[in-house]
Amino acid sequence: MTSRRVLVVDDDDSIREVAQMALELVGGWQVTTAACGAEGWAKAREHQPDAILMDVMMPGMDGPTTFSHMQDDPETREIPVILLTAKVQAGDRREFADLELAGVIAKPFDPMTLSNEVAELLGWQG
Amino acid sequence: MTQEAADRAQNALEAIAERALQTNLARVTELEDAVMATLEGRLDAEQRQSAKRAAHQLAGSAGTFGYPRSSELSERLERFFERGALVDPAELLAATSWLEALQVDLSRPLASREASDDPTGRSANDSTAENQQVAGHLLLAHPDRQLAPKLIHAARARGLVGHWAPDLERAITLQQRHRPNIVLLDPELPPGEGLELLTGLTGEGERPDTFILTTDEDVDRVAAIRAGVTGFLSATLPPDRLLTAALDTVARRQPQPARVLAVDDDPLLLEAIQELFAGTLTEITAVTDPLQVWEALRQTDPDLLLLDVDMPGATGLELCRMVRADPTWAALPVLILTGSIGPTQVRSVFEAGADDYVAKPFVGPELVSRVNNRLERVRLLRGLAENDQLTGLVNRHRLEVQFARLQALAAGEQQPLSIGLLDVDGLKRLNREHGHTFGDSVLQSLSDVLANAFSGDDVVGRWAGQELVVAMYGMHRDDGVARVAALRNEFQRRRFELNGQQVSVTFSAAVAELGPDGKDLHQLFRAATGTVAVAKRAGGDRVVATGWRPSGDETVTDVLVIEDDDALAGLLQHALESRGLSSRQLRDGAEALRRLTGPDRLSARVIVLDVDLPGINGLDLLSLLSQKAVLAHTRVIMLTARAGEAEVLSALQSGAFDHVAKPFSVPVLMQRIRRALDG
Repeated sequence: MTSRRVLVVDDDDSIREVAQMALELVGGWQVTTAACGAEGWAKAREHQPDAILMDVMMPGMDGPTTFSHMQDDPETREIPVILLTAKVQAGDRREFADLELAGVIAKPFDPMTLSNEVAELLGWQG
Repeated sequence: MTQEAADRAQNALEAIAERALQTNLARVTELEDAVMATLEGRLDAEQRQSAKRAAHQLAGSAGTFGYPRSSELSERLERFFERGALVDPAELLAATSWLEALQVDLSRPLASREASDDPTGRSANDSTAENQQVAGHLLLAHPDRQLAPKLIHAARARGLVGHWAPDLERAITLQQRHRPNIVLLDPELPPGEGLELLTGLTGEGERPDTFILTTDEDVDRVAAIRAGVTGFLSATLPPDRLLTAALDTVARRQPQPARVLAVDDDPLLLEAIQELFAGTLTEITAVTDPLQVWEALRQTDPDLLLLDVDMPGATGLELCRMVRADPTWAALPVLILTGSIGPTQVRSVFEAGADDYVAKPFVGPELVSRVNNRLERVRLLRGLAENDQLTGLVNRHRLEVQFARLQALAAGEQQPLSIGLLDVDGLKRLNREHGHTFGDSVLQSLSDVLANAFSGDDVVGRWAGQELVVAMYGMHRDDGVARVAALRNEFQRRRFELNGQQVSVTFSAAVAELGPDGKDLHQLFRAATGTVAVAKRAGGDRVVATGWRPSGDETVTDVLVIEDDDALAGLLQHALESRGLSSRQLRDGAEALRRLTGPDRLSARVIVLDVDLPGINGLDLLSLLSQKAVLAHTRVIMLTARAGEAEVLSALQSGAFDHVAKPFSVPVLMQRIRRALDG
């Protein structure tokens, strides 16, 4: 089986790094990263990853906005997106529920179990 | 996942966590600024938005990297900034306390993640941050992003809350806010101005102990010491060692408590004694079993022994006799606590060798004053044994002991150590002609000047006769010369009464550095003595580095001063000569060109060149010297006008090594000349 390819989009350098490390070392996946929404969208088109992990709050284009652009783009529409958010209040959950997301993972996340959480949301088998 | 992969992941995570901490500390700083702005009613919408975002990101990042408590506090701060410009005072107060707790929590070393079952470490670390005792604050004013988190962690392990300021402006803000006890300063933040700004702002409070972290030797140590720096630390030391060195120095500056060993089989009485001395500078070690006295003596090395008379196993008097019979403890002051005070008992107390007794039941203040009297005697005797009677400086034996301590310290902390040997010019003649009382008052006066000028880790002592020695910690040879030379003028200003006339006396001094000039105090002393003798033969009244020789060659000079203002040139030459540097003055630009380029040419290591000169002006002369390759072996320091930026620029373009604006301070110019000579 070829290795899964995941794109991580987050403007926080260390979060991006730790997510990449967690998914590569613990999950054994290939990880690409992007530091903002626009870069994330471009990389999604170029690399066609199997899944995208995306921060909600980013400067410029935030996570949900980037997601809706990607939904309108036939080249990225099919890629499942998981939002990473430090905000898990009821109001935000409702807002996210309207989006066709593959899932939401709360920040802070535990790096050692991140890949399991992602696999579970996407129904990936080890 | 294999164990190996897990370990690798763990290591990688720790490395990333360290980097994340830098970012997070910057976020805390931003939040701090925003909370302060709210407090002062000047938070604008943009800053609020930005702070909210910083809090949000901090919440996500801190939790992920093992600081769940910080994550929770950040969420609260995020909500605080969400609420808009109008906040009620109670909430604002709460926000400042969250911020403080956040700083404490983030300064905590990251607990091993395996230590806790909960992967985020929540159960292990929750709420500990706010409950931990804080011993003080440490401020790192240094742009090093790698050092900051490590040092802050190391500080936290010692109960200090660390703060990081990458620049001076930030340092001053943090200084005002947290009143740190210890400041570690980057030398690039100018020690003069920057330090004054930093320490001055503490106002009536105590000045923090400030250390300069050096990596190069370009630091002006003399100026830094004058500005009030406590000491220097090698920036190449690992953060933990760095902190230990700083804290040790701070501890050495504290008065040492007197140690009393109290022996009584009644624990209640011992408790009462400890109570009496609580909060004083006397430390009581209590022992209830007389048979453990020897062990306790060895462990505490007390200044005084307090013994009860009636104890099972061994009586106080028996113990006292045994202590007196042991050469190690024979001189230890012993005080006996006795219930009965008939004449027979009193005699037996003194026969046993005790120094004094206190009757039981005792009155608290009486015991305290008896103990203190004894301790005072100990100090006095020790002082007599260690200090020179005439000058009050430490004697040679003590100087040797303290130098050995500095030597070990210098080796461990990678710091230089120098000694200065000072010798009054013509003291023997003065003694012979005017009597020893006059000579003694001169020596006392010089000792005063020295004792006032050197403190902290410096040691000032009387070697013998008219030779005074100062050991200067953290100083290279040249720094030492500058420090001692600064005293020269002060000493000269003192006037001595001689046959109804006011006279001034001069001294000569040589400075030797541990390492280049010798490997112990005696070798340094020998090197310095030889040079002082040379300095005296050359006329005295000067401070020189070891190995100095007066220049006998008419065509060679250390510093050539090309300046038509005789008063200024004289001042400069005087300062140079007193530092053991030869100098000459030329008044005319055309003459200078001739002397420097013509046959039988004059060679100088450094030229101090004025801009306005008769004959050829300074800038033109500089270009001509450059064309004639004089600058290949000579460095030129231009004396420019304060506002003459164009002058400075053209001087530097024409090959000047440095420039100093007029009017200048002599010590500053001397420092620049030294730098030019060194290179």
